Amino acid sequence: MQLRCGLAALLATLATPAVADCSVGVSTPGVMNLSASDAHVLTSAEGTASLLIVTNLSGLFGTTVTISNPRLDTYPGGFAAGSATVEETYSATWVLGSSSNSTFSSSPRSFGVPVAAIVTLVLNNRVTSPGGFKQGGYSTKTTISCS
Amino acid sequence: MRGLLVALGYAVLCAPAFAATDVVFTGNVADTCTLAVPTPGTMTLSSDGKTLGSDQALGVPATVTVLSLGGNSVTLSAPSLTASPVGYGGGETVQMSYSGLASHAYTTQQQSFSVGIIPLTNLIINMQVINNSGFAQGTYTAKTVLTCS
Amino acid sequence: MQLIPLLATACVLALAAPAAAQSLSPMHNAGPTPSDIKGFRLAIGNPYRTVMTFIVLPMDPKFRVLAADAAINFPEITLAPGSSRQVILTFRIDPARKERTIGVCVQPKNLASTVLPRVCGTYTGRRLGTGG
Repeated sequence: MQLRCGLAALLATLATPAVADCSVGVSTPGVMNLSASDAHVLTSAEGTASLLIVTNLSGLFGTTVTISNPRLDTYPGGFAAGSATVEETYSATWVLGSSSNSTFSSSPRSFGVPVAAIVTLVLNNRVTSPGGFKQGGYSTKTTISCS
Repeated sequence: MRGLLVALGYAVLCAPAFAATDVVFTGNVADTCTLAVPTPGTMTLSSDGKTLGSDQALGVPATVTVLSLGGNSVTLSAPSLTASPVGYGGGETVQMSYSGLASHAYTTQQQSFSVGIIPLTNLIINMQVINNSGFAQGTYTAKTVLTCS
Repeated sequence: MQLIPLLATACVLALAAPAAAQSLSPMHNAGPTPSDIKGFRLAIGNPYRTVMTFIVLPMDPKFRVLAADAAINFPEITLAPGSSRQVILTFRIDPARKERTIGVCVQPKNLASTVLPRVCGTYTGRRLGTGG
């Protein structure tokens, strides 16, 4: 009986996918400003980038950090949100490694990090609106996850 | 069977946490309108002495530069003669025309038009005072108030 | 006929006025107040290359007449080229009303031109606790 339970537990553990554990902390929230050269662009590249620390990466074979596609979260009434494009860039560094993409993109992105790395991640978001921006507050949201 | 179920339960309960965090970027946009008058405008007298205008020989139209960040509108008030010399009898018609950022032929009426997001753009304004009785000697000032709001 | 050349000279308004420029930000704002006084902070800018003196006027929402029971803490300001300054608009809301909208216009103090440029905004104060 005990041998069968132990064997079952072992088999169940082996059958479970290796899910990584990580913690994501936001050190600096991002702030977007109207671009000085183009008032159709609201960007943190001319404001403040978001700084995050990703830790506790304990995947046995390393961890994949995924940055979701950015999306427009809040905006003033009457703003043509449907025609706005939201994009991001990222730069990640850890001991003996890095990953980055400085080309703004609206697609999700991911990169692998070795086990037990502490990753410093710098994110920028920008919103491009062909009709410009109405007066008011805007926010974008990006989800950082590990797998 | 019960052992297998227990093992599966153990595996699920003890599975490592899957962490995800939302990162928020905020931005605030304020409407702004910037106006400048690099060329104030000059009116001169026509050869028949009945028209003072910036489009006469040696006259110069006014140039206004407009920079707008947002859904603003520009209003030009109905033009009027705001100063004239002693002895002038009145009875004039004052009119303005403009081109560049927007266009309109000579008119005596207030005009308005919308501006969205525009870089520094010129609006050229001509002013004209017409009086078939002519003008007494002295200095005349005609004006329109341009409001960006 | 002899008058015409004299008039042609006399009527030239070629005053070498410096370029005038101003900006106002934000151009619209609204907010609550627990009392019957509401204030807003506005930025007046001089984005050009000459020192300019502007007058800042509280007006009705259509920018036609001066507003009563409204004031700007610095109604006349002189700005260096490329500089800006904050001014404070305050106005009283009639206790019988839930809200009031004030216009503010910024214009150059002395400009000899056929065009008087002014930038104007509207600002609304709402009294808290009036069900508005």
